[in-house]
Amino acid sequence: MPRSARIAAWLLAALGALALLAPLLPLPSPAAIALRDRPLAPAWPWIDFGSHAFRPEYWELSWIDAHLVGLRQALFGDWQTGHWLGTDAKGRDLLARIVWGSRTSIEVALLASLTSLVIGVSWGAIAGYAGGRVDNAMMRFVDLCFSLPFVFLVIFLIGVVNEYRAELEGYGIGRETVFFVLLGAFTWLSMARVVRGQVLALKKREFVEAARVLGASRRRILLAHILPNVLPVVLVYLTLTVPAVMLYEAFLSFLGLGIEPPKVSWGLLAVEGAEALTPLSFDWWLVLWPSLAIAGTLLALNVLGDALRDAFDPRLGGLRR
Amino acid sequence: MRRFLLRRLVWFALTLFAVVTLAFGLMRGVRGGPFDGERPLPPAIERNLRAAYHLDWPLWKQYCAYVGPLNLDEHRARLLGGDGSRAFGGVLAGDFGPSFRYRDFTVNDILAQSLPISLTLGTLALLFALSVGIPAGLASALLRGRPLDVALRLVTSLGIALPSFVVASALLFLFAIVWPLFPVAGYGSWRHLLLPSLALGAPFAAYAARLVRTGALEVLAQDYVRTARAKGLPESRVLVRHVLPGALLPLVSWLGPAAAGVLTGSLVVERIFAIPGTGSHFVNSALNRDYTLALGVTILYTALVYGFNLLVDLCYGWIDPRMRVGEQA
Amino acid sequence: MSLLEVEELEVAFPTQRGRVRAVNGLSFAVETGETLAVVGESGSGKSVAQLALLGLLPPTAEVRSKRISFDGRALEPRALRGRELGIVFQDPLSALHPLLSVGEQLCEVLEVHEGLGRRAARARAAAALAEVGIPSPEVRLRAFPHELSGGMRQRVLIAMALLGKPRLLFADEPTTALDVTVQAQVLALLAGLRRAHGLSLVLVTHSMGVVATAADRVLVMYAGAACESGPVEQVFERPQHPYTQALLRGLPDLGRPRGALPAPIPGAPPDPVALPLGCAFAPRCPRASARCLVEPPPFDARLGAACHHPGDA
Repeated sequence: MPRSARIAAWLLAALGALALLAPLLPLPSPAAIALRDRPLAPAWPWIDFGSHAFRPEYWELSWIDAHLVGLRQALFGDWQTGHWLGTDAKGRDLLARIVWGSRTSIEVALLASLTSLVIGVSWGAIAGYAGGRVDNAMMRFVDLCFSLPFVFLVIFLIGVVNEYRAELEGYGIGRETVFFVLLGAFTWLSMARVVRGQVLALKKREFVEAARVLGASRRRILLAHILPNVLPVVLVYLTLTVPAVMLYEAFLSFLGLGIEPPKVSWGLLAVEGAEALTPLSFDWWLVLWPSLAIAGTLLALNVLGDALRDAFDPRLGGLRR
Repeated sequence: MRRFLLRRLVWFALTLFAVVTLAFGLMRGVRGGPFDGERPLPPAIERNLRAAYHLDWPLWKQYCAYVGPLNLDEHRARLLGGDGSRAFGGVLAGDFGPSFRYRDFTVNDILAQSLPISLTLGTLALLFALSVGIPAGLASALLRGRPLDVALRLVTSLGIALPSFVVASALLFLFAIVWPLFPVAGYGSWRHLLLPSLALGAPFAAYAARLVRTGALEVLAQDYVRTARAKGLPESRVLVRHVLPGALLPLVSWLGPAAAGVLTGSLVVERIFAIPGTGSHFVNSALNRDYTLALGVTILYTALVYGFNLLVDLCYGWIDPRMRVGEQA
Repeated sequence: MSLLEVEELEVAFPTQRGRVRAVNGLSFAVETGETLAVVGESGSGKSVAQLALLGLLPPTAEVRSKRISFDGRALEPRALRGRELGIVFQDPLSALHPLLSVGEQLCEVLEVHEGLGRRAARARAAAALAEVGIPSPEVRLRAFPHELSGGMRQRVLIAMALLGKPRLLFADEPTTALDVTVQAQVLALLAGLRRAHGLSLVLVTHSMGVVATAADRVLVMYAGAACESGPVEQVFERPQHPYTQALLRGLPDLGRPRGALPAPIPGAPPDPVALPLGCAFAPRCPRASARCLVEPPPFDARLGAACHHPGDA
């Protein structure tokens, strides 16, 4: 793998670790409001390394996160890092918001991509394997969906979901779960197409013929023989779906339909950054740090995806070298 | 060729029908109506309003009234002050109905006012994307590995990775506030559209450059380029006549989804730059439950994207004779 | 004076594995009006040498030579290719541009080299197609390569090369991508055209059959250098170099008893990154001696072979 791809992989791993361990880190709370006149500019670590001003104000944390925060308090007491990256208008520490925001964004991206994966792979595999009229019908449906102005339907559906929020929460389905599923439901199309193409090609390979001759059932052939070989392509597509979903989330947050405060996501941070550029104030840090975070992560994902795609390119030998 | 076009048109009609029905069903079938968001209305007035907009009719009747082509609407005259005695109405007759939100206007009025602006914006954005992306991609491919290529690849990766509103805000800040070269917001002249189209077109320029680079690299490695050189053709001719058409093919097939993306992106850009285009109308109408306006914009956008896709397919066939429809040897 | 004289041509490519020496000290000559067949197995450097002479190798290739002269002057590939130096490539489907019509690809040769207008160029192109045996040439001008059969495409390639009025035509395995019946037709066509236009033909091939049918002289290459050359009958009847002898022994022979297979040459060609010190063929040669392993044999012009122990098998 080229060096750039390896750097990208390491970067993403580091990001994942940071996101996972966020509650343990001695950061200020991302939701701790300290109203001032204006956002605070970044304070270099040697100027303000930290202080004993920690306030454990969070939104409703999960059981694990709550315990991790408790552990953090045991470890670090009420010490927290200084505002190394500055704060926003409400006095919330930007570094903490970026780190905690990564959790939400990653969660959204992974869940949505997973949904997209499940739907897309199933649809494509069934269509490709069944062939004939079933395949035709299924793919016409995909074509139809492609022509629909999906984004608009997303906006609409989210508005609709807002209406029924009470009922859904009665069923234990939070607004965010619906959000993930919706995002995933709108990105499965290309995955389905790609998987179908792969399955069609694989269907003709000798090992499938061999399995059929040996009497394997269609389901077994599909699950045990074809799907494992579709995996590389799916993996590559995943690395390209995740950035798309992240950008979608940012887009919807921009329209006010995404993650809701006090929870924070990178999309929300980008929006706040965008709104910070006015003729009156020049709070550059609110734009720069979140943009760097988003751009860096998406860049790393794209680089990794490209490298994976090259590695699995059949012209270069593919996986079976 | 004729059968191809016919098939496409049929498919187009089916798609639109599906969109209209789906959207209509969603909007009407779901709780909450267009008059919910305002100050609570006295029940009598609300009843009258609902009657005026036929919200008390059975769903199927509302649907037929909307789609047309027969004009079931005797109340139009009262709403709009015209004579509601026309025989034809509804979408199939080109009438998208009255807006629920902007009570003095029909959807047709609103669209007629805002669509040209959005179309101009979108076209400018695409033109910018192509006129920057294609040369950049070519230069990148020809100078592969050299500093310019590396720099361009970095810039394009950034362009793809940054959310559009970040780019838009940055551009707004740099060129309208820091260096006040352009107006900050609003719409009045072409100068108002310049920054927005740059912001809108930037990610597409980046993607276009990538596509052209990949396409060109692939073509440059082909045998037929070697044949062209072996024929003693000057390098400029080899590049323009032999390399460029094949290099642009991936770009052309991407233009369809790109157009759809431009329409999506215009939502963001129109908001940031406060441009009275169709995008902002759509978002607001979806949130305000202005059914007719939302439906109207949706239908229009579907039609635009579909038409553009068709154009792109024809274009592709023009460049690549192997893909021409109905002329298989 | 020969039409083309090549002395000590060397071509190398820097790669990740090392420096690939594709052509090592190749020297040969082509006379006016003759057909020279260049024969060798895959990897012998015959195609690379050809491309090097025409300047069609990628810019990373390192090309060196003691002397290359065409018609008495130093060879300038960029000035002459497409005109006096023509080439017909191996795979006609990939060699022709898929997006341009046959007519466009033919006419542009005339437009660029002779400044002809569209009408005149099309007339000449149609005539060229007719000459290579393509029926209804005016119709074919509008066709695209994927609409033609393999044999027709090869003929188009030949016609395209001929439009430049070449004096020396290279043909890189012109029959390999075709079936046998079409092969014979194309070879006959090339022979006829050579006589009609008085050009010299360099036929690069790996088939001894083609050599026997079509060539006047033959050059046998191994590991990027010439090991034997001479008139075809002489080389076929009294080969001097062990490699040539092994090649000829490997040909199917109707006179052989049934069930007896032709004898393959033991071993494999040397790795172009790590060529042997002495004679490149020595590791596989039945006559190799200690001298062969350390001292590369010079090409003996009288014998027409580069071998320390030439002679009958």
